[in-house]
Amino acid sequence: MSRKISKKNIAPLIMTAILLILITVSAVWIIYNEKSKGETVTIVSNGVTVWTGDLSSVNEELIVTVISDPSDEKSPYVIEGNSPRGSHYNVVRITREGVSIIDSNCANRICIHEGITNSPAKPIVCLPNRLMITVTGKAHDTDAITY
Amino acid sequence: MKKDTRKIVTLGLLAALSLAIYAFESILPPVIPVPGIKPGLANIIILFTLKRFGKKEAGSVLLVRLLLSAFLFGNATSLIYSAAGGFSALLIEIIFDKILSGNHLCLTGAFGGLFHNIAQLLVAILIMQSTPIFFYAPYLCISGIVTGLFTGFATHFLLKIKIPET
Repeated sequence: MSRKISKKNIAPLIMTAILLILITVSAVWIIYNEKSKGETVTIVSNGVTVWTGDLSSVNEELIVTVISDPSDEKSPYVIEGNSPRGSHYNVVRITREGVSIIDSNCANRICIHEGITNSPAKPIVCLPNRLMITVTGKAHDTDAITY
Repeated sequence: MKKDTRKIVTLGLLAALSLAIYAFESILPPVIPVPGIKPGLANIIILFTLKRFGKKEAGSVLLVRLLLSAFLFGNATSLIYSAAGGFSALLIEIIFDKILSGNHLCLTGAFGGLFHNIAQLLVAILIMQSTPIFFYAPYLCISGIVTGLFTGFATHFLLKIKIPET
């Protein structure tokens, strides 16, 4: 303890501490919520809820296409099946295991790479198309943490 | 007069370099499939400009890069995201560099990266009008700090290079 904590050293120490705390809290939060499972799928496009449904009510698989073409007056809306059209669309696949985006005309395609989710802690977002898919609510066949 | 010209040319080159890194980064496939997670290597140039030239110069290089990247590869929405992230990061880096009296550049970079992502998350919540995006906060927090640390380290070593005077 010979090294004195001078005024010069205190700022970087505090900052390092803040960063470490933030990383720890984030990591714990991610690990803690990793296994949580949801049930109700909600698809929100441009701030409007365009589709909701339960994962358990899906038979084999359900494919819907979310259209959010600004030139289309009805948009945003959802049509059944894989039917891309317009300037902004995302094709969403819903199975009992979870929901995923299988096709999109956005530039970076991160939404497709996000994979399947059935967790309230991991929504799927497509920023260019302003699309957001969440899975919320208690699932019946799990004892995991839910909201 | 001659000195001014050299400075303008250097800043122009830095802006071009930053734009090139940004362009290269945007064609890389996403390593971690979470929106908003990027290496953020273009910010090395911004932090370097801040340290070597000053606030105004770093702000101008950033502005040039933002506008050019939006015209070349993006659109109005991507400009809002990158402007919010870029300027918050720069602001935080200016403040923290002052608090740390120019030392510990990796910490400055880490906070810059962190606030870059926080600003983008807030803009995303505003644009998408949807609060569940907040679930991405922990991922963005960690990625911002890690990539920011790297930005800081890289800038630290970059600053040791002397730009030729002739």
